[in-house]
Amino acid sequence: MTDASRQQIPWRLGVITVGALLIAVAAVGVVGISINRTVQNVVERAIAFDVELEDNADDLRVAILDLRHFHRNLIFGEPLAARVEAWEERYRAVLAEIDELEALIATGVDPVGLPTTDELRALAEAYYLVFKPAVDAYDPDDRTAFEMASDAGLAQLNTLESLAETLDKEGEARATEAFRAIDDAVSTGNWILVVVIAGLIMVGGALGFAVLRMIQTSRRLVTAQQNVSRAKTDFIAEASHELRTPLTVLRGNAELGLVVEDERERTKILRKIVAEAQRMSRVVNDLLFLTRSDARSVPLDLQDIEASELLEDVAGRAEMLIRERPVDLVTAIEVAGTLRADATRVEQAVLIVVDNAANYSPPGESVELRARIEDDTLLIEVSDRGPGIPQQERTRIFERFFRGDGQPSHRASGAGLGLAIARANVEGHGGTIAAHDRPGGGTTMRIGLPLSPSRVRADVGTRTAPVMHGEDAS
Amino acid sequence: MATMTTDPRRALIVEDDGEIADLLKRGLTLHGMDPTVASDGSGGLAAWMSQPFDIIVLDVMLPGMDGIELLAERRAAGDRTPVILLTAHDDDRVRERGLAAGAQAFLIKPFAYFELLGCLDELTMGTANGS
Repeated sequence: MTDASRQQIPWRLGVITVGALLIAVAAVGVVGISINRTVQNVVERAIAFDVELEDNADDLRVAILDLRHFHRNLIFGEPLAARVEAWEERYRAVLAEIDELEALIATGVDPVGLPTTDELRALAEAYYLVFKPAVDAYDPDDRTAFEMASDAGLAQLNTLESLAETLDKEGEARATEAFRAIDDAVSTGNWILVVVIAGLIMVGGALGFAVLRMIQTSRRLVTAQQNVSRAKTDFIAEASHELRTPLTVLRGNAELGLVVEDERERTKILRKIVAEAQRMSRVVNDLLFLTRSDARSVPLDLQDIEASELLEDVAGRAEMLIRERPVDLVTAIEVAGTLRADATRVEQAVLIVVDNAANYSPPGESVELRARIEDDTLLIEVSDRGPGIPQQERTRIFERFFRGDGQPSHRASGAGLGLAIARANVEGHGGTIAAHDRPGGGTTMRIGLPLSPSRVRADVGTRTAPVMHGEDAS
Repeated sequence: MATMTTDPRRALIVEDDGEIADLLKRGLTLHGMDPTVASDGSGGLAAWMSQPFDIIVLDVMLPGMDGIELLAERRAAGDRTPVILLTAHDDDRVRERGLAAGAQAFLIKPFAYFELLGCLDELTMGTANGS
């Protein structure tokens, strides 16, 4: 059933979108967490090392400048004990800054390419070792040795300062780089979140659509189910009504037969009972057929049949059917081609229509059975001179149990099931059946059956079988 | 059982099904009544108005005018002839409509012959032409 599988799609779509939505929500969570962590790492690293490096290097430079200042005090003034003490204090401050830097670099991530603290310390110590003895051996009258030692010490200090500057620059560069990385991480994270959220919105939209489709589909299914169930209830009600009528006749006649004493009258009643029972079995058969042919699935035994042979057989049977009626049958069959059909079912449909036509024809008139080919379709037309069918009833006559006003005794034409059976048969073949006005009064029923497409052209003209019967059997 | 009289009770049967109409006609005749048969609503109305009847046996589903409409029309015109409605629809709404329109009895097909006779006798009891 393709229909059923088509109705499965919204359900599958729903499951897929719900799954996608859950995955997307999880993805947003994971992405969010990872972005957060990246940003956190970058920030931590920057604060723990890069920024700290710049900071400490800066402090070192300040300490060196301070030391140089006190060094100058010693040179331009006398190296008094208090001045020397202050200078030494500044020297220890420089060493302390180097220790701090060493501690930082020990935790540092990437000390490659940077001046080592050992180098720094060696320079500082070299400075101290060159200058301190000269300070101790200061001679106000001969400052030559003192000033030479000062120059040598200052040379060491200059080197130390330039290294500190290198470190400071490096720290600055690293801090700038770190802040840029933070910016990058944050903005990349923002973009990823925007994309994921956009995806989420799309998945949500798809889910909404799927839910809508599911609701529509289930509503349609429920309506279809209700229609089927209502049709069944109606059918059963109509069917029981159809059976009550013959049952009334059977029961009434049987009861009458019990009362009647005249033998001949009783025989007549028994004959009526038999005839009614036969009629009733026909109704039961029709009902069974229509129940089985529900949803246009008439069980057909399809064969390739020559249209002309089929129609000749049908015409023969129609003549037999109509022989006992006060009407004539005129046939005009001009067909060629093959069709894939169940001959019995086609015949049944045509005979129902012929029987109907005979029932409506005024005595003495003729019923016409014509067949021809038109546009790859076999057209079978049955015409009568009856009262015609009102426009508003032309489609309803093919409904089960439908009876128009002004029909003769309805059971003359079955239980109102004949045309429904004819339609089920014709539509089962992919054909059509419709009632039309007949020029000059009456009705023309037109049955159209599709010919097998590949054979039509080849067969045209090779098998025409015009048959004219009737008008002789008055 | 009712006896034959020189002036039998007159009954009008309005029934579109030929077999049932025939059955009713024979049954009522056997019961000593004088039945007239009409096969559709308008024919039934014409027959009903053409002469007085002691009882009307009226099918509900008729081509043209249905039995209940026909009954309602006669009741509106002041006709009090007793009516037995026949129907193949065992449906309370049909029964309600029928009784509201002024039917005296309601028989569901397939009904028993003796049930019909019981109704006929009860409803024609006391009429001038009754036994």
